[in-house]
Amino acid sequence: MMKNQAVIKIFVLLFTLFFLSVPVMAGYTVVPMQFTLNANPGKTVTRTMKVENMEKTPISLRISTTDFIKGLHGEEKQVEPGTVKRGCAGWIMVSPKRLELAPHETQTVNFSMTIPMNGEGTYWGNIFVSQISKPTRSKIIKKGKTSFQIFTMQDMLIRVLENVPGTEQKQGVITDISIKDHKTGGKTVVEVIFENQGNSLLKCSGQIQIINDSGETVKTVPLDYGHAPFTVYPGGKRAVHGYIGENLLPGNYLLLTVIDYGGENLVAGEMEMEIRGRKIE
Amino acid sequence: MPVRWRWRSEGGKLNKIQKKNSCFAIMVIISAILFFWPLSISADETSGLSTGVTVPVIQSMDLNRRSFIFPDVSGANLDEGFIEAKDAAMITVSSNVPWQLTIQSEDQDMGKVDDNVKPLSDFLWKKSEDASYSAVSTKGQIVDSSAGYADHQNIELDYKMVVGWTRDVPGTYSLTLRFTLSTLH
Repeated sequence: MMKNQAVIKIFVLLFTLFFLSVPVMAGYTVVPMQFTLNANPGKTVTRTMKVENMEKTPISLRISTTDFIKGLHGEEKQVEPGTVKRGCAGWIMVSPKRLELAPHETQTVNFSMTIPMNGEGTYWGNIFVSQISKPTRSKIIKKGKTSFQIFTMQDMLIRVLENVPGTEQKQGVITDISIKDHKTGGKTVVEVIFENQGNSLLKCSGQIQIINDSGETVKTVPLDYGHAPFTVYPGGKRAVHGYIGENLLPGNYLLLTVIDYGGENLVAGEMEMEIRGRKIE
Repeated sequence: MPVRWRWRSEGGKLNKIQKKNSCFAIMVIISAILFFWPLSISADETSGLSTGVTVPVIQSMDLNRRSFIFPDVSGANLDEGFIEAKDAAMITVSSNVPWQLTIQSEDQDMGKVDDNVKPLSDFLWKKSEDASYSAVSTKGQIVDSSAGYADHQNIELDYKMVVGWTRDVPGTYSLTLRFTLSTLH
């Protein structure tokens, strides 16, 4: 009897420790975080999102829409709806625009979007959910003292991508290839700039073939900007990099860059490179 | 179906009794069973039963603290020109799609005390594993991103505040940082 009780207690203890070790999420969640639509021109689509407060305290959220611009290195800037030529934030109607969530409460957000009659290709925008309930200052100022308090707030960006069926035009081009300074532990970095000249979002991958004077490929390196594949929005450019390394023998080389953007053809660009001793020209 | 007759003797006479047709009863029972049997049996024979689930794009972010206060500024800090806080914040990210996390300041500066404005450029941040600090901006800067998924991935940040003997009027300065999680593409 005593032995059974001991076994039960150990079991309960292990059970409790297991659940205490499981990470408990806080903050709030929005599900889903991306909508990929394929609506025809003139159509209105409606979708819903669930917003859940995972905290033990109430939270206030504001919901709005933004267009966004992707920079050369993937950085993103939120702008007013209607700012971007292919932005669709201005087409999106969201309801409600403000949420007050009690602890562990879930509410539904609805949105609708009407595609213009002349729509073609890819359009994009964000539904921006931002926290507006600010933490209160927790430290009383001490006379003659200096204090710095940093508050942190959580925002969630829900992507809305609209691809008008049957109208996509995939087209891209390499606009520049250059060798950058040695900034990555001595490795030579080749920067390639790719431009999306079509009307559709492109998911790209590529590589650089290093070809010596004899026409032999001595090395092939992948292109990435921290990871691959990389995406480029219509009308945008993206800088991606290939790390050549240090083990090339002195001589003349041709750097042949090839990018697959999902179109009918690949695109290529080339650059000549000379290695003198251990200095790259 | 032929009917079976049973003969019973009553008072010496044989009477013909029509017995319930057991075969007919069995047929009725079988027909009833087949009629009310779950459709899945006939479905197994003629077509497959399909099922599925739609997995939405799900992401979550947890900030380990909503407010961080730098340690009290000391004379040594003022001599050094800065006060540093290691592991000042931790963000835990989960995502079932490629993701990115950005940081930006909500404020143009860190407030004013007696006409002294603490500029935004005095606040610096970095990932704990990085070597150098960056100034925060009112535009989004990438803290971290991945082409893969994240399962409670912890991102630890260090903070640094530029201070000086003639730099700040004593008082409380504050800054609001906004962390934004989104899909990568």
